[in-house]
Amino acid sequence: MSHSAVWEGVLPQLEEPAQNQWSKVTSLFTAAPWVFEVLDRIAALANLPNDWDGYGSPRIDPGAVAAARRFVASVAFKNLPCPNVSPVLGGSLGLQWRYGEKELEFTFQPNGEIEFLRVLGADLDRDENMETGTLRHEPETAGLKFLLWMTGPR
Amino acid sequence: MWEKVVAAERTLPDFENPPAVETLMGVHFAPIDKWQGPYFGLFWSRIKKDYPRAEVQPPVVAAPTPELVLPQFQGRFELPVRCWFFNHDETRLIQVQNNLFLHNWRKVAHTDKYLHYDDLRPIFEREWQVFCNFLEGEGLGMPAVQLCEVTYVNHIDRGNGWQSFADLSQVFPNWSPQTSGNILPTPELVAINASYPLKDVDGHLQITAQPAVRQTDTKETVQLTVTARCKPASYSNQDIYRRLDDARKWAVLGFTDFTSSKMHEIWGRKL
Repeated sequence: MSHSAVWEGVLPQLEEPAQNQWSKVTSLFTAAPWVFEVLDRIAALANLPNDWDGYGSPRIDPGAVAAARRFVASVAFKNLPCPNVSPVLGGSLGLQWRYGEKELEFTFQPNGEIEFLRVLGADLDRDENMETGTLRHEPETAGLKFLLWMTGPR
Repeated sequence: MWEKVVAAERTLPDFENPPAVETLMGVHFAPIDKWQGPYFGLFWSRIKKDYPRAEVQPPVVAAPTPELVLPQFQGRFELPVRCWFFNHDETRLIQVQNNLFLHNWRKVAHTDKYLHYDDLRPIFEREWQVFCNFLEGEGLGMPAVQLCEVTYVNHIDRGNGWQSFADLSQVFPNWSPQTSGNILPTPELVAINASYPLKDVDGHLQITAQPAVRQTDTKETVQLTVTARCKPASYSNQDIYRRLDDARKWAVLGFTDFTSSKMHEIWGRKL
C-alpha cells in the first residue's frame, strides 16, 4: 500500500473537528476493517491456560488483554495494516506491525505498562536502528504517533 | 422558581435505564475581546479545589451559527485553545473557550446512577455564576450569550435492540433498509444526520447516529447524539436558564420521537 493511500485513510480522522463530547468512540466509517477481528483475536488469548508455552508462563493477564483491546479500538485507523497478535512470556500480550522496512511492537504488561520497540531498516543488528521505551502518558495518543511514524514517509 | 421548573419537566418522557452516557449543557457567546491565554490559569485557580486536573484541548471551531464563525479567532495573535477542567472523580467537566462555557457529565461505570437534568442544572448555574463573577472581577465584561445548548450522547449497543444494521428501523422508525429494486444487500454501516427547526423557540435540534466502537470497553455501539441549541431572548441569566430548559425539553422530546416504542420498552419508559 502506498504512503498516500495510508494518509488518505488517516487524514479524515485527524482532521475531524474538535468535539464538545467527552466520551471517546471511534467511528466505524474511519476505522480499519479488521478492527473487530483483531479485538476478537486479543480476547481469545485470555483463554490460554497457565503454562501455555510449555515453559511455565502464566495465563495472559486480563488487564493486559483489556489494555490491548482499548489500544486497538483507539488507534485502528482506516488503511493501517492489520497487526499480528501474540502471547508474550510472563502473562503479557504483544501487537506487531510491519510496514516496508519499519517495524513497531507494543507489549502490554500485567502491571499496566505498555512497552514499545520500533525498528527502522532491515539491519536489526545496528543499535541506531532500534528504539525501545515505555508509553507513559496517554498511551493511545502516544501509540498513534508511532503508528503515524510507521506509515508516514521515511 | 426552580421547583416550578422541576414540576413542569416531570411531564417529559422519562426512562428507568436511559442509554445516555453523557450529557452536556452550556452556552456559546460572542468571543470575549480581552480574553488571553493566562486567563485560563487564573480561572482554574478559582475552581481548582473542585476541579483539580486540567487539559488543554483544540478549540471547537465549527460554530453552530454562521454569525459566530468569523469573529471567533480574529484580532490580536492568540493561540486558539480550549481548556478542560475535571472534577475529583472525573465524572464532570467544565469546558472553557473564549466563546463558550460548557458543563459535561458522563457515566463512567455501568453502575453509575444516571444524573438527570434536574440534578445537573443547579451545578451548571453555580459554575456559570463563578465564571461570570471571574470575568467581571477581571474586567472582561459579561458574555453576550448567543446560544444555549443541551446535548445528550446515547450509546445503543449491538445486541440491545438491534443485531445488524438492517435492524436499525426497529430502533429508528424513520429509517428503512428497503431499496426500490431490492438489489442492494443489507448495509454494513449506516449513519444518520438530521436537523429540525424547533417550534415556539428560535433554535434547532440536531440528531446524529453513527456506528462506532467505544474506546473504554471496545463494544460496538450506535452513538446517538441529540443536540438542541436555542437563542436566548436576552443576555440575562434568567433568559439563559429558560432557554436551557427549552433546549432540554426539545432534546428529550426529539430523542423520544426519533426512537421506537420497542426501544422505549427496553429502556423502561416511565412517562
